[in-house]
Amino acid sequence: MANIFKRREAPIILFTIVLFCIFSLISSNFLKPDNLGLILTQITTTGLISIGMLMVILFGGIDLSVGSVLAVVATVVGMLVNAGINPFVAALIGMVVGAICGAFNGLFIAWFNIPEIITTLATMFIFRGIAVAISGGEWVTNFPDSFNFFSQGKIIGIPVPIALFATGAIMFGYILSQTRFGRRVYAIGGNKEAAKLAGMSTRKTKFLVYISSGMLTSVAAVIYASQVGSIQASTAGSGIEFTVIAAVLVGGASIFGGVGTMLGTAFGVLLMGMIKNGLVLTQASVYWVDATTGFILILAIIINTVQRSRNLASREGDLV
Amino acid sequence: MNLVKEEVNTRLKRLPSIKINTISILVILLAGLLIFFSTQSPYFLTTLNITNVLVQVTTIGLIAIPMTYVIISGAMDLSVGSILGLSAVTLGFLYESGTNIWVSVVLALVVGALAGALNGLLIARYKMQAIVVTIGTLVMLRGLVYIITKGKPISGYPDSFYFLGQGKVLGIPFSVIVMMALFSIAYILIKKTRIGRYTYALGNNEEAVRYSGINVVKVRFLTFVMSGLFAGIAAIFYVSRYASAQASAGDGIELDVITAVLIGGTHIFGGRGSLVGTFLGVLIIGTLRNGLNLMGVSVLFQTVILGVLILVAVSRQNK
Amino acid sequence: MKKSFLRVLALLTLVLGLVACSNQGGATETPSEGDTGGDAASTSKSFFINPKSIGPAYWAAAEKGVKQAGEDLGVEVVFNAPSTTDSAQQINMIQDMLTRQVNGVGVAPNDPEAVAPVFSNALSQDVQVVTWDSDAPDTDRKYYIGAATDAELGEQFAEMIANQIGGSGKVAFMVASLSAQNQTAKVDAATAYLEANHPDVEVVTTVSSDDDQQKAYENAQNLISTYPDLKGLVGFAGAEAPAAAQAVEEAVNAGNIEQGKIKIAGFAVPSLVKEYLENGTIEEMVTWDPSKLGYTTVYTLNLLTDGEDVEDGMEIPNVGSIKVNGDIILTGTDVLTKDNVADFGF
Repeated sequence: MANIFKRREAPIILFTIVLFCIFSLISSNFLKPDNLGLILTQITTTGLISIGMLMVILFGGIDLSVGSVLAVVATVVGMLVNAGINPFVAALIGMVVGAICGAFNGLFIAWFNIPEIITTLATMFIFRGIAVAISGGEWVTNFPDSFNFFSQGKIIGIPVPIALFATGAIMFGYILSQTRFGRRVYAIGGNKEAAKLAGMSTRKTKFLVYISSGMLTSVAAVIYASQVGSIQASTAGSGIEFTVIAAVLVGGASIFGGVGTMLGTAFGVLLMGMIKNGLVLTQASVYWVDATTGFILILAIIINTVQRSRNLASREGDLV
Repeated sequence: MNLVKEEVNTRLKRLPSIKINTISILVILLAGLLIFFSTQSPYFLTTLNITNVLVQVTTIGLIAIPMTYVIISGAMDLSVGSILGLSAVTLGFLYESGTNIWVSVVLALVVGALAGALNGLLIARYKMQAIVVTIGTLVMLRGLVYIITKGKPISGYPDSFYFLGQGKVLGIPFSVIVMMALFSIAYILIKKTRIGRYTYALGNNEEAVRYSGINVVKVRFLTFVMSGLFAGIAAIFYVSRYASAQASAGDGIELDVITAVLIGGTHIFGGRGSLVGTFLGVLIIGTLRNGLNLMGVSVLFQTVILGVLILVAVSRQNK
Repeated sequence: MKKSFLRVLALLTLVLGLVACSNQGGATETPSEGDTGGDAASTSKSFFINPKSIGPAYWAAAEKGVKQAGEDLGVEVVFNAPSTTDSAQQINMIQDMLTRQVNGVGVAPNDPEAVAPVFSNALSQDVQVVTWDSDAPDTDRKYYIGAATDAELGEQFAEMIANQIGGSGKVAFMVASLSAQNQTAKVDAATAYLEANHPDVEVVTTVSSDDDQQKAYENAQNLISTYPDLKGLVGFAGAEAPAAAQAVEEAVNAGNIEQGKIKIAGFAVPSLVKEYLENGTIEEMVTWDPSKLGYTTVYTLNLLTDGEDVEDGMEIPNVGSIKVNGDIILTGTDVLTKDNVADFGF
């Protein structure tokens, strides 16, 4: 039991709980089941993307292109659905498109050895351009009702977006912690040279991570399209990379790689979603929302860092 | 847990200087663009247009100076756009509430430096991850800007103030002169002084630098204060040139600045880079935008072209 | 050294090839004949039409009107803007087009104050300047072309929502930006109008989507859950109303609120709210055709460069009659209902 507080995720979990209590005290509507369900639904897109981002950050990379990949996939899926294609088939095609985008990133990063941040900065611009070109600059909208399944449908009583996010999180949580592939991801981030010497194919692992990331983003894109109901390729998902990266890092991952867990990331995502929802519910002035969000974020980082240096200090004396 | 291992494993490299190679490639690239655009548009290679390009890149150029330091030292500052916004509206707000314009300018610079110091404190002193901290301050400071202005642009400054962003000395825009001067000073600082050497050293191997008795915290702190201060300087010229301090000023500029620094050959993981390269990177982005605008190329294609440029121009950086 | 030289060469070819392709395929310029470099020699006029940003579908609709006018009047039009609503980049672009010696510019300013210097600069070069969609009244611009003034629109939105909710109750405002002048002006007018004419209508809050549809949608969801007695949502920009309708419809389907409890009013693009009008989630909205604004802008610039002027009540082909009130040209608005939504082509 005492071990819980030594876990890396402990500060973020505690912080989330404290904030949860504060919001509940300020606003009587916050604790209503409807609203809690709402928060969970709202975090599914960032949540799904953050799973991929966690893996990327774990091996020391970063992916700035996720928002643009989301735009490409949402546009393609939306247009396919409107062309009369079955929503499930369209979603599958969307995942293929997402995988191709991820493979493109992976190709440049793993095989041409171009740093992640540069590749994805570039593809952020390129994919965005492609998305707008596909859409012809027009809104993709008026989807058939059957497409609503991805936002309003239910699987055994659980809303589809939440079910998809939970499945993704559990699946990749398992892969990361229990499989060889997962251990490789950690190993590459922890020590690239050693991982290489140990005969691990860092290339193949990275490539697979980017493809998975692209596919997870495309699932998020399908939910996005179905939830929002209209897609504007030039703005869909733009800036989402910052929210996602912040969620992963607030969740305890290190930008230098090798450190971070699925559980921490899930709480990071939850925290970000809760702040967004809670600040509207507390009826704070609209001009204060951004400033407060930033402040809470920095607070979360501070708490994380304090925990980390305490852990470190207990092991390594006065190094930090 | 793994932090120790990470830090010890930080790439061990010689104290390098940027290869002359990179600079010559950038010069060829810039020359190529200049030749191409002058064949495409008769207005491109005119004094008026060249002056325009130089004035247009001052905001990015000014912020790219400290960003080069920050990236060379192995960190990153994403909050520069919000600091620019904060300094700009501080200036507007103070002047509107009756403060002398030049006092307002100084205070706006102080606010910029303070915002940088906040980043520096958290990152240098308390060892927090630069990207996370500056994403946090990016959101928080932009929020502060909206609290101050309530979304309304602040305009109506005295004529003497407009000289900064709109005036000329010997036919050269004053803002361009200031940018060039600051580039030169920063170049000398990083080449000739200890602070400069420490900046490179930090980016190469923070641990080794720490053990060698250099005050790591101080050097890193200074790079972030400098980043905030320069965002403040850029804000002054911004307000003077556009005669207005708007809440969204500088929004998203960090990407342009980082792109320019990376195109200029500074290594994303730190340790390598040069201000000459950054200057050329800034000019390349400015020329590309201006030339494509003159040709009437839609912005959507401009971003794709910029993306391809980054991918190919910066692909020399091996990990 | 040789290798890197080759690389640069390859890079240059690639970039310039892309430029060439995009310039041909970009379709930003109306006359497909005529090389871009050659327009200095030709006597035909060229206008630069500058929306707030490129990408949003509202501006894509406006672009159609601009292009149409360019073809009809035989002038070259360039339609371009930054990819974000960034004032500094917008002004840089206007400056670049002035260098290109266009004869007129039509600007939808992101910051009405900041365009003043570049407008004076344009006038000193004999370039005609008008604003469209969003005004900059304190500058040297000759005319503002809009569907209606911001004050009129704000009041129209306010009256529409007050009317729908029966003159009393809580409403929330949804805007695209907290700093865009044409948004804040409408909000101020609507608030003042409600205070004066419908004192029982309470504006509980204003939320901003930053032009992001997902944010607009989540804002609407959060509003519905924050204010259980909310009766109305007013959307001040194109992305807000459909997002509000989507959220309301979902809440109704989930059984959280009753059908028709929350009314929606404000501006809407017909194609985006078609299904919500048809299924009754939205009763009526205010709309105008951005392509008419675009067409009128080019038409006005063309008259001005010919030394002529617009007149009140004059007929503009493809647009209809316009109202001229001092230096403001208004093309008029329409009320959108389920009966006429199919008639709009945008």
